Amino acid sequence: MHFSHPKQTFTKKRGVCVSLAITLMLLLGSCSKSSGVYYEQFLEFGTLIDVKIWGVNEDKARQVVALIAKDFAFMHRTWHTWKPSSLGRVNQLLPSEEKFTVGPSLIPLIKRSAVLSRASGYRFNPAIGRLIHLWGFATDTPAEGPPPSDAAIKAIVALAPTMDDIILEGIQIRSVNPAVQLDFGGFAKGIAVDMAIEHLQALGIENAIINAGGDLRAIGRHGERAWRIGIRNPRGEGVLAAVDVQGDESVFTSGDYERFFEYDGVRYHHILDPHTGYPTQGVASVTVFDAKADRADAAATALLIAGVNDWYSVAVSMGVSGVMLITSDGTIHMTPNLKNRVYFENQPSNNIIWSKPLPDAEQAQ
Amino acid sequence: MINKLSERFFDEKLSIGDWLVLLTALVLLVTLYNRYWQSDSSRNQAVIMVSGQFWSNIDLHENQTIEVPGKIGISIVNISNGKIHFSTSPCTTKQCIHQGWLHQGGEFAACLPNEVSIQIAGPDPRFDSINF
Repeated sequence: MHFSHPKQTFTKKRGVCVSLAITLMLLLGSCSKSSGVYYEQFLEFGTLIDVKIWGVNEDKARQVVALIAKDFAFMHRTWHTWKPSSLGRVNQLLPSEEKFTVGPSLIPLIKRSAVLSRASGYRFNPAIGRLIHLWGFATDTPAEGPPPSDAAIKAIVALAPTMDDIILEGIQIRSVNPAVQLDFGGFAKGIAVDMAIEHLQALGIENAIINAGGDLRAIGRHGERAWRIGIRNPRGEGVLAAVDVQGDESVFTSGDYERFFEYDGVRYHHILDPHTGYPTQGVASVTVFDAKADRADAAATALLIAGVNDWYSVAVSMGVSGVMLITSDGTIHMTPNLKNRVYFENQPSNNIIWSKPLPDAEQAQ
Repeated sequence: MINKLSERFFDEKLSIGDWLVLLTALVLLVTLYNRYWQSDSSRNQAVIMVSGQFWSNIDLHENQTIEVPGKIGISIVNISNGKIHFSTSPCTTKQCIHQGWLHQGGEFAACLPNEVSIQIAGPDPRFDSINF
């Protein structure tokens, strides 16, 4: 009796020690940040596409990324503006003003972009391919200038090509304006991201981000927390602000820093105002939040063209869910619904100008 | 029951073996935590990719200059005080250089014509994705 009692206690004590040790190790395990994210990058659409998937095993993730990478490659080949493609053939035939058959994958692109173009007051305008080509932005090699002559620019602007000039009957198409040339540079990425996300969802993926050269759509969450997005500073270095995204949301930014050339000390960037034919002025970047990537993509371009005075009305007519616009002098304009979501890394030097609230985004097209 | 157990535990002297088990667990906890889960900038790494394929992991603790052979030429990447940037690249727009120094987890810069990208890959990147 005398000996058995301490022996028993020691056993229990050892048990407690071992369980303490195990608890400590489990504690370490619970700190794990390896967090089950599968990450892969590929190059398509002339940019880097990166895909993050949370919550499925690596084999499944690798399989689904391979599938959407193939989709991206197909869309890029089919919709390419200046390489031989379905779109290239359409652009060759459009000036004839005769009816012809169009590659079926282009039809939703034409229909959807026409709707968004009208909603933007024709600021987002994929029919101005000739103007983009004239400025030298429609090539693999970066534009170098000189800028085109004012007369050449005005000649195209006067013909005012828009998506309304395209008549689509079944799978046949014709243009009623010989100046129409399609360029989906400001739109194809958005629609491709939408299709890729829908493809992922159909394959059973619930948590993912697809980032195509800085523009992204995120679905679901990163495990216990929302996906964390950093918005890059359009003028300085690094990240300007952080925003959490969960559920299903797209974040697209258009900026005057993306593609440009300098000639005689003047900087000409690639976002052209279809009404003047010249690069826009006054806005450095526009970030658009929306459920759909295609609308966010079109709206980012349209709002940058609309500028400080008109961006709000265009945002309302396009029906986007949130906007952050940064002017060339660094003033930030934002919709109030982003107030508790966007966190600035450093307090902006200029005051933030809050717009009126946006009406319910659901009512828009 | 629990009170009784803890009384016994603290009343009785722990053997050397017990202390060893506890000590080993504590030492392991601290070492492994520092080794694998610390994310201060001195431990940050950057991932360099060429044409979408992994090319190299770079320790940002070590100041150095690296030549990365890409599709159209050599991009030069500098690492200094836990930060990394493109210092030279054969592209014409030099957008990759304009992207400046990267140091926060998840930050990313790419020379698209040369198909070279660099990204901070801390064990806990502050961002899952960067919008620009």
